[in-house]
Amino acid sequence: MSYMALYREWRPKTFEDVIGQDHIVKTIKNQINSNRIPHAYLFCGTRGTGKTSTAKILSKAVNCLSPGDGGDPCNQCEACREINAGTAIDVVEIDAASNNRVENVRELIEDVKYPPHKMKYKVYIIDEVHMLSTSAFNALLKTLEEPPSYVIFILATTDPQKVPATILSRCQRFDFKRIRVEDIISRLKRITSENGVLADDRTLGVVARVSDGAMRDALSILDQAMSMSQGRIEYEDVVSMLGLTSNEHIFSLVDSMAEGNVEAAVKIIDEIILNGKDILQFIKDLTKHFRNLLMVKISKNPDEIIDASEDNIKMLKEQARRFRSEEIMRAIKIMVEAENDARYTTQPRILLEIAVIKFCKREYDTSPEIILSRINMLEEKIKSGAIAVKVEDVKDDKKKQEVKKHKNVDNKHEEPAIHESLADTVSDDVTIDEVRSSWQEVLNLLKANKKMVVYAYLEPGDVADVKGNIITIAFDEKFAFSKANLEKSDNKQIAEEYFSKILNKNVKLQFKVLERENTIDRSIELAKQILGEDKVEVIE
Amino acid sequence: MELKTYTEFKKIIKEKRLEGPIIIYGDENHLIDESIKIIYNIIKSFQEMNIVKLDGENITLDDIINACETLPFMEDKKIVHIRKAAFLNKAPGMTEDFVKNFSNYIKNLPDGIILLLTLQGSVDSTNAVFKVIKSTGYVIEYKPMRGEELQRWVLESFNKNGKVINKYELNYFIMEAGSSLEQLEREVEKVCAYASEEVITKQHIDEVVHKSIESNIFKMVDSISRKDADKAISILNALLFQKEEHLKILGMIIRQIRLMYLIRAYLDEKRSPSEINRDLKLNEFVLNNLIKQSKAYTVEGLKKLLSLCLETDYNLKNGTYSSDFYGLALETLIVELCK
Repeated sequence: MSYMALYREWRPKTFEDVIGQDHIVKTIKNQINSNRIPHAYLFCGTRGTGKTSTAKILSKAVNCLSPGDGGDPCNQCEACREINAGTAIDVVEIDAASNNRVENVRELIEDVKYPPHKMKYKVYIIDEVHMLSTSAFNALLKTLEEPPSYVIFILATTDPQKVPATILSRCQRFDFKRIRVEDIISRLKRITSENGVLADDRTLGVVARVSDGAMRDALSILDQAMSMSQGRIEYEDVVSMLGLTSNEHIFSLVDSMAEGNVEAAVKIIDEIILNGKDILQFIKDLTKHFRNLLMVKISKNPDEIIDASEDNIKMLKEQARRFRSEEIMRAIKIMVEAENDARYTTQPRILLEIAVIKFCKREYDTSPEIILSRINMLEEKIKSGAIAVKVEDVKDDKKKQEVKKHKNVDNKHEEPAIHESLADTVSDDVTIDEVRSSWQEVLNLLKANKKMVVYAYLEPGDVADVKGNIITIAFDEKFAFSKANLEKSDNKQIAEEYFSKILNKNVKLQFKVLERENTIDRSIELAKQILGEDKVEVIE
Repeated sequence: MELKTYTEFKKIIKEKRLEGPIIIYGDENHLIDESIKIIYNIIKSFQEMNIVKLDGENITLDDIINACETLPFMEDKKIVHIRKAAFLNKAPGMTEDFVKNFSNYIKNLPDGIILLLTLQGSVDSTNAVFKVIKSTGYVIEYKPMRGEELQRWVLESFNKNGKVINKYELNYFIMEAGSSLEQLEREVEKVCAYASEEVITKQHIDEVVHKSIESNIFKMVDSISRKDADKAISILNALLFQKEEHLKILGMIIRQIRLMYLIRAYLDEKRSPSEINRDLKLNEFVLNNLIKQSKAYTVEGLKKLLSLCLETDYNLKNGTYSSDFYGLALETLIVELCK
């Protein structure tokens, strides 16, 4: 016998064989049994869900000469055999995709007038009906509305949105669901066992999941896998055949992003480029990866919304644990932005790197979402109890005492714990540049920790001078009250604490108020400098 | 005489009082078609000879007079049906003369003639023909059914198929199947064929009724209001699987949230559900559910949800998301809405 593709060989022949569409099968059977068959059906659903198969079974069932109890066709009688062989004159199957013109429909309408030759009903199966042209639809309308009693129309489409409402409202509409993974697996099992091929559930599971609820896809993949195998289908073979090999690069890149390890991440990007991967495509893949992470995080049953092998989903689940959903959302936003920009650049690599760095270095980002996620991180640390408050070793006792003494001379405030932990630092000297660059960070941290009073007083100030570990902060004359308030011991302590923390050095603060210079005099001075003394005349 | 409902019309048919001119118009095509069928059935024999169909868009007075003046064949009645009687409205190309002469002719219509004029849409009530027929014959307008009238109609169709349905399920059915009568009738037939039991349950409806996109969106927003992102995303994926357009989905999410927002605001003003519905005119079932959902939020909270939607809408339209990621944009939106 000549070779026949699996999906043709295993096309369902009775209602029993139609998988995963119980609601439709039951309704149609009841209609046949009670002889209340509507004159027009519309079958909707994606590819491989059983539309055409059901239409064919239906055409047999209404015409079968010795139907079974349940309304199933016998597949034995003359009518059934003719329809199966495709030679029946009274069952017309039309592919609307290639016969989409009015002329074709007019021919059909002409044909409808004549009663069936041999069978009880004339059945017209119009496949891909959404492809008909507008005028063809309109021509069909009238016949569809009041067809002769011996005619049944079965329209099948993958795209009911494209079918005009006037047609839709004249047909009884059935929606074919995407076939569930378990249903596909059980069907595949039957086929493999009847073909004498071995395959375990895990392997069939991948096939079922990748086929996205379409039986025909599943069977094509199985067909391919079967022809590759020698009586046994291996999981690894199927995975590599489908190109589902988990993308190592993406996983490791995201891993290093989770750790905030920019160096490793950039190295991986370099490797990817050496491998000749298209960056734009990679950014897209990365975005999809983050999307999958998000889905894994949110969904209890992610198999349905992610097309990936079981192993991959397991890895995704594993990796998703390293992120909070807000973080993933942030990553998606950054990646989408990068992808958008990358379309218009000749240097997509740089954009990818920037995106990765942006994700890793959260402290550069001051948007509210980031602050929120940073607070979350702090909370987690507090919950876990792993707060880095260093407890001094006994050995250091002596040194500590010395430091304390030294400090007590310095100022007479009590030292908070946090300062003690910093006492170890080699030198407490800072430079003015260091202080200036961390200024904003200190302010942000104060704000994030709700030290609004200190924040408000400190905000108008400016770093004026740094000597050793003593920072002098200057205020304009009108903010003199800031200085006064910051000199109160509580506030000063807090401010010093935060500066020490950010600079990682034990620093002290001093405050001063800038005396207002005579601004007019200064302007005059400036003007003279620029224009030359002889060109400026001061008129009092 | 002016008739208001389908029931009134059927009563007249039953009493066999129908004769002379009759106009049937309105936006509910299904009822117009049904009525035409009923009227045709008055003629028991030789329908081909005794029913004359004319096209109202291209008609002369002579055509009408010719049709009306020939006697019925082997019957005591004859139907002259003018379809698409656009001249009842202000149709271009129709002379005033035609309307004037036609209205005069109607006054002396021969006995045994049923002159049926049908039109989809509205008529001009100052039209001479319309005025004459209103006083000498029957005028029926079928407006789209709503509320109780619709419920009664659907209930009757269920009963016709030998099934029983309770009020809750009836409302649920109408919400799921939409409001077009043709569609409703098909769905009724389908559910009745599916259910082997006499009483229709919610499960029957869920199994076979074609879920309109409206009802899916409704369930999605319901899941969002319960902070169930998992469910909401699986509905979204089902919709995308059916190839619904992203922007359409987003638009409908926005519509739902907007309704919740309005209802929440009304509730804060201590208005009763029936007062609210005077403005919003929603299906009872939908309204009650929206009230339930909106109670999970404050007006401010809903405003925030709306601005999240707005942001996504903007991002979809300005090209921030490439077309590969439209689905992703909606997914992230739902996650954020569920926060």
